[in-house]
Amino acid sequence: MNPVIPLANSLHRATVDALRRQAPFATMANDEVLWLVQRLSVAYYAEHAVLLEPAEVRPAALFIIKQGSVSGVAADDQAVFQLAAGEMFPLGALLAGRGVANRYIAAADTFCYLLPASDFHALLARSKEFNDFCTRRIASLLEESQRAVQSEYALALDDEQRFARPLASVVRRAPYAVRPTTPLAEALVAMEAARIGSVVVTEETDAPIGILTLKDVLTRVTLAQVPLVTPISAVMTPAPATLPDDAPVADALVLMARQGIHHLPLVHDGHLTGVVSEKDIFALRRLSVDGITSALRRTDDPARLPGLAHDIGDLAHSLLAQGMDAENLTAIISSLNDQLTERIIAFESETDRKLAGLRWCWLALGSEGRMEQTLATDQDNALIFDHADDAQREALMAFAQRVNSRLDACGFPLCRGEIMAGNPQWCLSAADWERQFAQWIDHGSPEALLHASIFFDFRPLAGDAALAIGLRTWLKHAAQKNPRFLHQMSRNALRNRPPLGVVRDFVFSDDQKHPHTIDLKMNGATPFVDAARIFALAAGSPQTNTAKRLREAAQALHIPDHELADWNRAFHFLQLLRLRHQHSQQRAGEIPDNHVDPDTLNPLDRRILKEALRQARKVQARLALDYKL
Amino acid sequence: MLDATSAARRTALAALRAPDPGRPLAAQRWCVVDVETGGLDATRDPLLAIGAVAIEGGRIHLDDSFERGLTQTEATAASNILIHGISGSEQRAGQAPHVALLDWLEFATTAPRVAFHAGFDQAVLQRALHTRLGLRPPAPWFDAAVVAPLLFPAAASRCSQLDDWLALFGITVYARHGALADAYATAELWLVLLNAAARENITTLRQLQRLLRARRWLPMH
Repeated sequence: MNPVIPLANSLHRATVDALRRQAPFATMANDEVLWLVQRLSVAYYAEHAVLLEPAEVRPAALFIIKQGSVSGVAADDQAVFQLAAGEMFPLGALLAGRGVANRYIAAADTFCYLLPASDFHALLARSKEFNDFCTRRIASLLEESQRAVQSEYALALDDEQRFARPLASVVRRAPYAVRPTTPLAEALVAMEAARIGSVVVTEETDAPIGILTLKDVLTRVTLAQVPLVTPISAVMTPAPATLPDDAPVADALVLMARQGIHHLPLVHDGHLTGVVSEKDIFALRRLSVDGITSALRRTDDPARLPGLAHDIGDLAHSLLAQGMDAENLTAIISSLNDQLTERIIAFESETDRKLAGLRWCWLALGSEGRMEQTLATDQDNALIFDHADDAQREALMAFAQRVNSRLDACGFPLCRGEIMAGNPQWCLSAADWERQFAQWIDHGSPEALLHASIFFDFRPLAGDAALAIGLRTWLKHAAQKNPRFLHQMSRNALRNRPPLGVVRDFVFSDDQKHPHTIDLKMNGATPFVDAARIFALAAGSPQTNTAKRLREAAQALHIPDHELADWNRAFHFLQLLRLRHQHSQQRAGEIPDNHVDPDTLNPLDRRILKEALRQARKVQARLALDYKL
Repeated sequence: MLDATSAARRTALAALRAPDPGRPLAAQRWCVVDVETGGLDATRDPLLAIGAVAIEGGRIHLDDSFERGLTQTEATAASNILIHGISGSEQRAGQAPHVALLDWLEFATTAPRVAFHAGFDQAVLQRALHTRLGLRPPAPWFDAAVVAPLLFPAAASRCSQLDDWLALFGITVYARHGALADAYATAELWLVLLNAAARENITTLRQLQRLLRARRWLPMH
């Protein structure tokens, strides 16, 4: 008998005693545990019964295993973890207010205590011990947050948005069209050569008047034994259904389903502009890195590139939905954008005779240079070349401007700061680049430091990489020779304080256009990026990627592994928050940015954000230590 | 004679009807009960304590539980105290029997009763309710000792007592022979049985009663 506990019967007291044998209840005050017990219910699950399914809705209750065991099973039916008596789940999903990502299955006959979600949150507020236990381990929380986001996005990713895209964006190649008088033999050979499933018959005006598909060939030509000298007009489907190329994909689906057809000519002002096949439309559902890579390689028409750029964006959204981590995701986005840029550069350089014999290299700068592109990226690029006379310089610049404008058409807006290869200021010979870099290093003005932070992350993207490597080697020596410059860079980097407040938990950005927000790029990710750059320059490393720079630096500076791991986790969490924020903005049809109102984050993410910003401070503290600032 | 308050409570309880037999088992509120008596004779020995827990929506709700001791005019023989562990002073510290019984009915209401070897509990409670309050509640009784072998015939030959079934399903009792503790353990067993019944497509009270009637024609061990 415990006289302190009011209104507790022997069942309540016995349950209190049983719970208090395990963490975190062992350290909690007696009446907090009783408060909990009086809100519990007990449920039984036979072996193999499902306790929780991945779902969009937040879980209704906290489960505490009373006896038995529970497996967490991923989408591929692999058991990913096993929980035993005394363990609680799904903590992360409850804290984040999201659905669970895994399926929870009874691995044996199991009894669980269930605590309603509202009481779980009330207990978090009541009991510090319980709160600490549930929220303390940042790494496992991040994992949980990551898993939780998977289900949220996977379920939110509907096809609606994709099917609202204009048909023109789905078309992968220029249409193959013939005149009505073309002999069947000629049309069929061409179809085979181009590996296409249909041929459109057009008049001189380019207006489609018929279509013949491979399926038609079987019935109308082969089985009907029509001689191959017959003009195609004799067997084509006359007056085929067409759609304007700016009609949404959904219209094509409906028309195809209604008419039982698989190929649809697209027209613009009555002219044939493409053919969309059922396959093209369903390919949308199966976006893959390989698919986009090979589509980029295959395409022989630069006009198709904006569509592929769109696919890269869709793929990034879907990978985000599948719970890919920020490090891999930003690397994939960057690598696909690289390939797209390379393709554009190839289109523009191969046809340009004036470039023949010139050595040049396209440089990716900024986030692209670091392989850290998010969903909102404008252009940051430059051109380096070997000796060139004025005319050649003009040709290089014209080429770069064409690439810039094609990139713009692909959704990489022209850089507001004019940091683009087509700008005469940033289209320089190797010797001029060295002079420019040397000036920034010597000068150390705020503007010079700003430029250094963008340009010193350069990476060769296309052309003669030896030029970029030469410049990197030069920079390595120049930066190491100049401790004053690194000192200034550090001082500059430390001015950008992570927005953690003393009174409130976050300090909001003073940007008038974005009140009550923090800038996840400038005040979140940038402290890591800046510190990593200085570490790399000081060590003479050619590495441009922030995580890799930090890894290298940790070795050289004897930073313990777990500290490094926390830095990188924090950096990638900030990147992930940016990606998620941009993702939801793009879905809402807004221009993506980096301004997040912390109050819109769920309690788990908010807590992790604070922790991540604390890590940013630690990186800065390390920098300050190195440069005695 | 009952006092005015008790009489009013009794009148309200007399109006209780039996539960709808078509109601799904999953939606049913069950009252799992165990009584402690001053001996093993249901017709004579005094009722010492009632323990009960409710199952609703397929779950035992810990706050929906019931525990009352009944005051005795005379403490029972020492031999029974050894079984139940209710000392003479604890017995006398309980509530007046008519109040405890009114409390019990207000807790149980129309819910079907479940007990292990329910015949005994049913007889003891009916006798007490009848003599103290003049009530015969119409709620049906279910015997876990009868239902369990029907749903787990393979284990039936090995299990006859509550302890056997509890051991089979790994259910522990925090204080064996305490009324509430035994009721709670029986309730956990009942959760297992309800789960098994659902697997056999027994989904209503009526179907469960039909199964129990059919048992009379089944060969038992």
